[in-house]
Amino acid sequence: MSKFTKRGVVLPLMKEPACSRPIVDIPVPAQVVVPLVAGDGTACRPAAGSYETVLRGEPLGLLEGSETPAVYAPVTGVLSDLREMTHPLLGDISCAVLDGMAGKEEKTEKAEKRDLSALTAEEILAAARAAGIVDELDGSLLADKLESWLDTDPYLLGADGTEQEPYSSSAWAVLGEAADEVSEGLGLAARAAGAIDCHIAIRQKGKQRKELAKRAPGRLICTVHGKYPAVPEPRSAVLPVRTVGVQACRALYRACAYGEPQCDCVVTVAGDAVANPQNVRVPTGTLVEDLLRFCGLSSNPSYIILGDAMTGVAITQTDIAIIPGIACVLALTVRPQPKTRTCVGCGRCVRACHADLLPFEIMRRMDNMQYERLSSLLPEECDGCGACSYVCPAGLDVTAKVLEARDAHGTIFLKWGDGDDF
Amino acid sequence: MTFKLAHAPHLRRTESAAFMSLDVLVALLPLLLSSAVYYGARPAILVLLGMASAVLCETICCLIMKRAPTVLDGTAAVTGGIVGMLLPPLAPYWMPVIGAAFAILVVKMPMGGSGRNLFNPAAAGVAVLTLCFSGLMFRYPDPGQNVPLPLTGSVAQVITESSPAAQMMSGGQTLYSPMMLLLGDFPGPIGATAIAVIAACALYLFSRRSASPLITLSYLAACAGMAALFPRVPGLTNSVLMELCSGYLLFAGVFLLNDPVTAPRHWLGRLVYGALAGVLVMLLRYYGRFEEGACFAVLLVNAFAPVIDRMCWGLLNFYRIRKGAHSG
Repeated sequence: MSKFTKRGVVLPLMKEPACSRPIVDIPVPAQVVVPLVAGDGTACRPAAGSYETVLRGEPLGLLEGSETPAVYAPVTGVLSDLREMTHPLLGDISCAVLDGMAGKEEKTEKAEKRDLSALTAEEILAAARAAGIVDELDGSLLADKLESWLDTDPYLLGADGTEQEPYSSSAWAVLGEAADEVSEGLGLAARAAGAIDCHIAIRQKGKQRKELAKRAPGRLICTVHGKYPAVPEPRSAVLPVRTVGVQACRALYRACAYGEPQCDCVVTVAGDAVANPQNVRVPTGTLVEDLLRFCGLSSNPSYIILGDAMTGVAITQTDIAIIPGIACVLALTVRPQPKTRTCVGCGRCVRACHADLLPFEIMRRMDNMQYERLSSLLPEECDGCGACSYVCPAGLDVTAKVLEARDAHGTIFLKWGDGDDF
Repeated sequence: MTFKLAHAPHLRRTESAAFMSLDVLVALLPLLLSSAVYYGARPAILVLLGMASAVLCETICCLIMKRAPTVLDGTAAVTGGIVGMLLPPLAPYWMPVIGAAFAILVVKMPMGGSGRNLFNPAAAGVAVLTLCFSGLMFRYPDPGQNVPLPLTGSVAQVITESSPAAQMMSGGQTLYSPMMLLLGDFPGPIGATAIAVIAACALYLFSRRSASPLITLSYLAACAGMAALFPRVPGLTNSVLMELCSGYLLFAGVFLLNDPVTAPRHWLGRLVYGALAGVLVMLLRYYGRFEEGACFAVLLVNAFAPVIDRMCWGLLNFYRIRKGAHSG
């Protein structure tokens, strides 16, 4: 339905200057905090003892009860500590603290490139699983995602390089750096997941698109128009489209061709408090404060946001590890918000909702505690794109309320104050 | 360094909620000017009295309810202004005060204030005045004859004339050319006669997205359809034209039905809502006691607006909801 009604919102783009700068590698941080969690959320145990040196790419976490490695050391360093911490995206987890050894980067001999055309779907999935590749679009394990799409109705696979949110440009940067690897990786993913066809979706047109097509020969490059959030699909598409991240495609290529695990991710650092907005390649587990220090702050930010402006999570501390699900870090001094008042009933949220829901009605039933009447409004179909809050002239947190309703799964639940009222 | 927490999205369209009422107030201004051409300063005083009464009542209510005053969002001024606009130019000065006070004190604030009222306060204010003072409500001066209307003292000597709506109700012939109707040169309420100006205001509100063309157009289509099917004056186009331009039918379609708080939000809901209001307006004209019953029609459809909204959305998403019920 949303395809025909063209719902959504028009967002301002604030990707400059980060999007026109090349990807910069961060120097090996003094300390990285690697979550000992496999991509699907299961906890791992450390693979090395205390104060042992672990080389980059070596196993750091093993799955409980087996010898299968699931987490790899993103830098060469000494395992100095195991720490329990709360991560805004992963919850309560244990992390391995690696003291990075700058300059002692292990010169890994360039592995022989494997013949990719001979790989079967099972081999590709196994390689993705062994490399622990996480899709940056939703933070899930790529191998699980691809496997669940096997043997379903015909569909198209798209590498989502559209970057529809206001600040992020990491996918553009990765495409600009290694379009050929992304293209090959996408082909592998399509083969592993049984997709009918695959394409790379971007927003640029004209010269940039032609350049990209030259560097990814034989791959369909489609320009996606339309309002946020647009489906990254070719204009002539009749089949449903499923998407994987650009960075995940590249990691899949490297995993299949060279057996490399996913050790780093490209993150856009932007916001009005950042002195040098740019795309930075960081080892997994780099702390947000190290990243911000590397890019520099021009003023004191009031908000630090993991993720982009529309869907990101605000954090209060900066000792949070960057993981592959995070493609953007923002430091903002101001956060525009209209004065909050009651719903005016303008209906802008209904027009903005690409899932064709009634956000105002879900919010009203949440406020009136009519939880048992929520399920007929289908809050579970919300993907949290944030468009309804973005357009709300009454300054209400519509998205947050709808997500709360979604996460309650339509069950009756009650909140009684803060717990101290009894 | 400490950082603040906030829900996503961290970017908002910087558009305040007061914009909609401000747009309506701006749209009311040309209507007031066009009525000044025919009647002098008296209409402006009536409208301003209505606004003042509404703002004052809302402030008092907020003080009693121990709330921060909400008059700055402009909804009270809009309510008072619309009540004033729908009075005859000859109305005594206490009429807009009473109408606006009823709208705020009885219909709006007891429901919880702006954003929570079930019924359009302005329509309710006009409805009460229509019911209680119907003699004064439908006593319209002849526009060309007495410029300006006396501001003080008796208005008994002013020449009055029955409006087109009243003429149609009594079954008589009406004698107004389309040009006279467009320019508002016929007896009627202060702000509701200048058809061309109302149409321009409607276009302004549509372009600002402060009013929904879906509601207004489906309402007008329903009215026109009824007028064509059951004409009260001879001639198809004449019947449609006379019905749409007389009374405050068009004004209600633009300003009363489009009150965002009481109107549906879904596009199909808006279409159904407008059409239902149109049919009701015409039925009230055919069988009602008064020459114009648009305010009653608006109140009636207001009561159904939330149901219409949910049912229309549910109808379009019937299969999705069924699927959700099975899988969940």
